[in-house]
Amino acid sequence: MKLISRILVYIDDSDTAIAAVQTAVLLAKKFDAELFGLYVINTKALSDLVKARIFVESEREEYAQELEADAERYLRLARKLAAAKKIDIVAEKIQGTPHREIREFVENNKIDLLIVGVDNDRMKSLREEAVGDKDVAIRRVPCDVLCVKNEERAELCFDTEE
Amino acid sequence: MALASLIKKEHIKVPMTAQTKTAAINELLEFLKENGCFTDIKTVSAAVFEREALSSTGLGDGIAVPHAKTDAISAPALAIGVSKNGIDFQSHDGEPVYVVFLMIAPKSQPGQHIEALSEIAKMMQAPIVMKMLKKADTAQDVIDVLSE
Repeated sequence: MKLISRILVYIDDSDTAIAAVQTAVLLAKKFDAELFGLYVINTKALSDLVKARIFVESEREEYAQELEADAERYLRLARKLAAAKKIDIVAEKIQGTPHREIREFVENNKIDLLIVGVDNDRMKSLREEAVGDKDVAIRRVPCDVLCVKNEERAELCFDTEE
Repeated sequence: MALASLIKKEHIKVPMTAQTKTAAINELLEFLKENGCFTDIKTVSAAVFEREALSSTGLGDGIAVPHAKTDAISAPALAIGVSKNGIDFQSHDGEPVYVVFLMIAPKSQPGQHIEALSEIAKMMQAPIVMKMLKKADTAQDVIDVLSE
């Protein structure tokens, strides 16, 4: 039995997302694993912000368009990084609540390793009420999770790996 | 760069002195500028008030979340202000505002901006958190309330 055969990298516009993709590509290569990338357009948050009156409807629409464009940009980059190491990646964007979509993807695709980029500051504890989607996903997915924090290290390893 | 990354003691103002919405937003913008978050306060201010013109971000229950995205800032910044006397923020419920979250973000990274605002919205749903924030006397009190 292979330790890692199917890897999912969660892609968003956080500072460490690229490092997560670089790490995922290198691990996919090392373990000869299938690689998936997922960007979740957080439509739940947009709806919640309108309900809370923080956003007006026109803002929701504006941000939804920006998130679509953001997703395309990051998925293109993920495909480019994978191609640079001759690794296939199935990268897609979906709409919904990130932690639910991540978990569903992991279960439906029999993922055995989830890789996410995590800012160091994220590990500062906030009240339970304010825990973010990525943190919830990390806690709830049934597979192993690798949190990538060190952007420089990931980039250096990616650039020097042959 | 979600909420936990944005809460900084030096960006928390207790107590605020402003009594009106315009003065309160300007007070927190000046505060962020003094802390080096941006230099072009005119552009940032215009973005905040442009959003405010669409609908007041005085959400009710004593809370306001003015926000804007602008290229005049390179990284997201959050100021938190606590007023002891209350601010006339033209809130939806007509009541004064005691806690203000002012969020400014660059136009890039929309996902991170939404995530941070969403986490503020989630906290607002916990009445005990907002009640404790209103009672905060120092920046450290605010940090303590927002942390576990």
